[in-house]
Amino acid sequence: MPDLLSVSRHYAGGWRCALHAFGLVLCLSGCAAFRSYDNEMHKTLDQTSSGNLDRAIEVLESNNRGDFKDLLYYFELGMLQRLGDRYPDSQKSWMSANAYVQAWEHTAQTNPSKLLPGAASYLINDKVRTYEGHDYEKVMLLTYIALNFLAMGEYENARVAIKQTHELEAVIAELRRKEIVEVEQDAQKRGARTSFKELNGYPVQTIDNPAVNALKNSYQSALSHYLAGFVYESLGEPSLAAPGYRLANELQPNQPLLEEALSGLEQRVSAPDAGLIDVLFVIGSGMAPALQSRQFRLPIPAYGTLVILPVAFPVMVPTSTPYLPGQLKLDDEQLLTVAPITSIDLMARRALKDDMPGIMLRAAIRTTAKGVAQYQLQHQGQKQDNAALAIAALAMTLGSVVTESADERTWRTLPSEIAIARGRIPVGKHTITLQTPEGVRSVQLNLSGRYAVVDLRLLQRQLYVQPPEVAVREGGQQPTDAGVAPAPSTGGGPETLKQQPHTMETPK
Amino acid sequence: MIDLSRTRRLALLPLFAAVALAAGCAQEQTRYGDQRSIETVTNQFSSTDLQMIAESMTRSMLQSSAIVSGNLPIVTVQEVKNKTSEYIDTRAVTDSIRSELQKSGKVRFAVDAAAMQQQVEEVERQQGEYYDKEQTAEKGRMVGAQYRMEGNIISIVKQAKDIRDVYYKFNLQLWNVRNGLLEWSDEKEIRKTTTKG
Amino acid sequence: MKRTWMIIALLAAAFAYGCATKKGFEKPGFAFGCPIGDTKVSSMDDLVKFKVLSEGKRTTIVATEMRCTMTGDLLKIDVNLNNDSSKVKRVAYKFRWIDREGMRAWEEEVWKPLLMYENSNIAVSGVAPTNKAVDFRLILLSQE
Repeated sequence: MPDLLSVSRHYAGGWRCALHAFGLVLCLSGCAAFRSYDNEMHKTLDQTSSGNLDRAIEVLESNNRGDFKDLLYYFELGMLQRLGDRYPDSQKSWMSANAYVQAWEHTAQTNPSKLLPGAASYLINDKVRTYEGHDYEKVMLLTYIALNFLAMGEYENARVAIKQTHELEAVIAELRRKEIVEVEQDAQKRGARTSFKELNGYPVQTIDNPAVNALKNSYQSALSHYLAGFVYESLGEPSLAAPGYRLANELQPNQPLLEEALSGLEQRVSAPDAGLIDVLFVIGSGMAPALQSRQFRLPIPAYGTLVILPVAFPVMVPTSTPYLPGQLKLDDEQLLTVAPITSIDLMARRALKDDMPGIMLRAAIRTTAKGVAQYQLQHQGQKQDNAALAIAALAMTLGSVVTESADERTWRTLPSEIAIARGRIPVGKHTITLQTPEGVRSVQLNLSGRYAVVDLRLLQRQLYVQPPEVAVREGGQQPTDAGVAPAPSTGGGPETLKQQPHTMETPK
Repeated sequence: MIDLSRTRRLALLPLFAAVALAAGCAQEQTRYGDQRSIETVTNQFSSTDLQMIAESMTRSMLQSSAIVSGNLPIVTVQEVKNKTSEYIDTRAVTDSIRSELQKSGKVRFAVDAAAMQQQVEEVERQQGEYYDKEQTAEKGRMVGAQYRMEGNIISIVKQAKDIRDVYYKFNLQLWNVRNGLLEWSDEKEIRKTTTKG
Repeated sequence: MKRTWMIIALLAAAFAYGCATKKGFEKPGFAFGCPIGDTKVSSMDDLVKFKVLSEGKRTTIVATEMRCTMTGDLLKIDVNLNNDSSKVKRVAYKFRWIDREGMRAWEEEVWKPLLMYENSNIAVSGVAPTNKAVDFRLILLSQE
């Protein structure tokens, strides 16, 4: 599996690199990005919610026509392909995304100062910068890559992706620790304000509330660690599965379902193979919240007068009211408890909260640079009564308004809320039924092997199902319509896994 | 808030940025290191910890009476339970211990639970008609272990503003399968402290 | 005449040797239980100088005592390390195992880090990984 491990291209020849750097900087002053990612994604998400995945991908492509595809494009594309059960395509997109993440991780380890707010590249408008991805998105990318591998029956590769999440989390933790110190020191030196609570009119409660503050950090999720536990368990490595479940419990405390995973681990591993499949249902709901640019007026004291400059900051806006069912019904008899495990919504809020000091520091530095130019124009204009200069000053102010908008880029096709259910069920055909606000929905699955992961995604009018791959390949499964008791997911075709997805544990 | 006079030079920013970015593109170098050197990049479980534990456990076990007086005792390796919140591959530790013991020539190992499936499959496969009956591995000839090795690793992690302290305790036991007696047990403790700054 | 001198010299040597070990009896080729081969070792200082090496960064930590014994058929070594400075010192050590032919009897050990408080002693011990190891060296490396 060389893809996952290969990170190259970033460290190519020095000349080419310098040229790129120069081109980028030239571009900064000229082509200010007028892109509003929130507006751009609107149609894509709408199509997705209506079940038109192909159309959704077309819209996404039309918004990313350039040769250079960024991390965000691959994030979204991979998720849309996954929703359509196109696992190999999805994996290809996400591997491209992972190459960016790996390069970032490499920089974070070898040259972290490049990623800290003081770095030169950080002094340009955030949205013009190459998209680096939020920390939680990078971890979720690897988590979903692992889910793709599980769906394709490649458990060993899933283990590689899972192991990468551990390493990535350690790198992020170290970098953020450095960042907090640096932002604090830099802000103090410049006398800049970095507390968003001092930003007049900022909706503080959206990112500063008990639920957000209860998270340990913005990037560790109980889902990633629970999945790690599940993967290690399926590969017969209980000593690695244990910390996975243990961390999931720490990150999402007081959930009996999560506690059971740890307490019952030994028993499950040593249980004889009684023809039962250990099935993990991952239930995602809604879409990740949007970032929207809002302007706040920031007075900059200069040469004894005040220059008021509009400064844009990102604000977190929920886009859906995600619904999670309380339980999942299996074949009209068995009820599986559904336990919330991870809220991307909260993680995104926490990420913004943790990023705000850096965003504010960078905004203050940029605004001050603009303020200098503006002041000088105004000043000369007043002194010489030069109409042309005064107009130039006005144009500059207007220019600031237009160009100064906050970075709205964030991975939108991630679910807003994620829950899990787990059960040991017999091999064979099963009907899974969910209660949703739009009515009852059900899907038929044919499961085999000893472990399986079934990912369900609830959107406003849609239920997407991502079962193990073979079921899809032979059936061409369609998302089910709201309210309608849906057609069997595969039109009755066999959906068995062709091979067992893991090395079997010996019954002890 | 921000003193403008200090930030005049920011007008030259694009130039600075270009230079800085170009400088950041310097070529990297990768070299081989000493695989047995002390690794203290972070205070998470490290290669040095793994090697120290394996070495100390092996040397201690070689002095146990079960091994000294036994005639090439047969041991099977069981799980070392990971009771920490860290992803420590304890099988990598027991694998190291097993190879060191095997190399010492004082212990033999019987197939363990994790490898049983492959073992059984191979024996089954040799029962097939394509194999020379004289030389195939017959069923019912595997030798059971006299001792089983198991253990656990715990950690205590304490973190304050500028200090992170982690303590590991690795415990390994050698049990007599026939009579259930504990023949040998030893511990290795490791403490690591990281201070910030 | 020549013969008489030789006998006296031998006796003197044997006497000195016996005193140095303080054990009264020592097998030839051993000092304080530790294998020394043909090397002349007449005191603990000699033995330590012979057995302890420094590799890489030098440390002020010194071995002050060293004794060897056999556990089963394996060589076991006890070494006392001393930090006589008024500062905490960090040091790493490893044993190198040598076989009958003077070749390496085992692969390089892992460096074992050690923290030594000011003005203190620590006893470290090592057991040979195999009975092929009949000799050893202790190697110290500063971790400051």
